[in-house]
Amino acid sequence: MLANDDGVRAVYAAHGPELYRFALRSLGDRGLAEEAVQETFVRAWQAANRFDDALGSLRTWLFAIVRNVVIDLSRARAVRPALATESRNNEPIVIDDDVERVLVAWQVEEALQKLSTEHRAALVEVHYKSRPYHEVAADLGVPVGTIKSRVYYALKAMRLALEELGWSDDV
Amino acid sequence: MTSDPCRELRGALGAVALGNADEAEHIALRAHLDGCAECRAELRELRSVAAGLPLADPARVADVTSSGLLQPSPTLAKRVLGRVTAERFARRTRRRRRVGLATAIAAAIVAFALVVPDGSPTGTHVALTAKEAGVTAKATLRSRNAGTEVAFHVAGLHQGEYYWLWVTGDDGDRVGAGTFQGTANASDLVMTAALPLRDARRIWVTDEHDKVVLDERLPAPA
Ligand SMILES: [Zn+2]
Repeated sequence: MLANDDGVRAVYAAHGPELYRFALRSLGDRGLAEEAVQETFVRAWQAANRFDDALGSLRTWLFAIVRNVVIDLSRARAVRPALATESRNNEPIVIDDDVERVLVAWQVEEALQKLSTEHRAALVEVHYKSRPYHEVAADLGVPVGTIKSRVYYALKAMRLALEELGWSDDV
Repeated sequence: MTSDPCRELRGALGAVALGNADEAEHIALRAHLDGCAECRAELRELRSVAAGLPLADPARVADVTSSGLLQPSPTLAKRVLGRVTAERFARRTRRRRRVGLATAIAAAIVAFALVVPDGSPTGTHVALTAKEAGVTAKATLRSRNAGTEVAFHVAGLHQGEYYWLWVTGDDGDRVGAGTFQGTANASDLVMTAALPLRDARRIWVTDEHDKVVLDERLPAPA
């Protein structure tokens, strides 16, 4: 699948931007995130014969690679203070275990982003802002049942989006 | 097949998963869960999502949506290709030393022969087969950087019900293009599935019960 230029282009079109967003979320630096994506494709190409369709999706495999790349780049940056200070206004440097946590956070944010505006708003109000359902319903001029139903569908749609991103219940 | 009580308790199910249900909802749901394995499984799934929510920052999501900040630079695709090509060249050079020039040239010719032209810019037009009476739909699929864009025209779905649009790849995995609500009149939607158009083999729609409502196979690219 990475054996020729078109294969690389197709895999990049399908997964490049999301690999980049995960790397940026972890590394907090656009240049470093782009470096991580390039390195991920090189490693994926080198190991392409070890990729087994039957064992899981291409996305899961690529994310396993980018996770390692992010850890390597974080370690390299940790011993190069000049680079680290450049991004002090962005994300903290993450190493090893932190990468797992950031991966989960990033998956949840990707899933939130895919929700319709209505569904996301309902979830943000009742969950993140801890507002009572009836209050949110009154604000929007809809029945309480509508808000409850939007929250249910928001969670349901997020579940499907997360499964596509390789979500596992044992995190 | 999901029965009506399950549907009526969905609001309660979401609230219980989030941990903000009231006493009446707890009681009603508990009584139902004892006899309904489907809802028990669903509650487990939604709780797992709810457990992940505190890790995310919704403000960050709003920023991303409005600014497009999280897109890689448009030249990244070229640089990725450049790096992989350089690696491939390096490996071929190493191999050439081992197995000789003729084999390497043969490998290069095979690599070129595998190149296929891009999908037509006007898009692939598809009329979907309805699995439910009165439903009609057609779609235009276009190749985009983010994957396969589906311009979808649909009529005859149930007002207010939720539907899922899926695209299945040549690897058999389904990729969601998004959810939408049924309307009494015809509606036009544009959604994107994160897989390349050339890999798309099937486009289909499911309802709230995961029942297939519309379905069509896509021809493999020539
Ligand atoms: Zn049930």
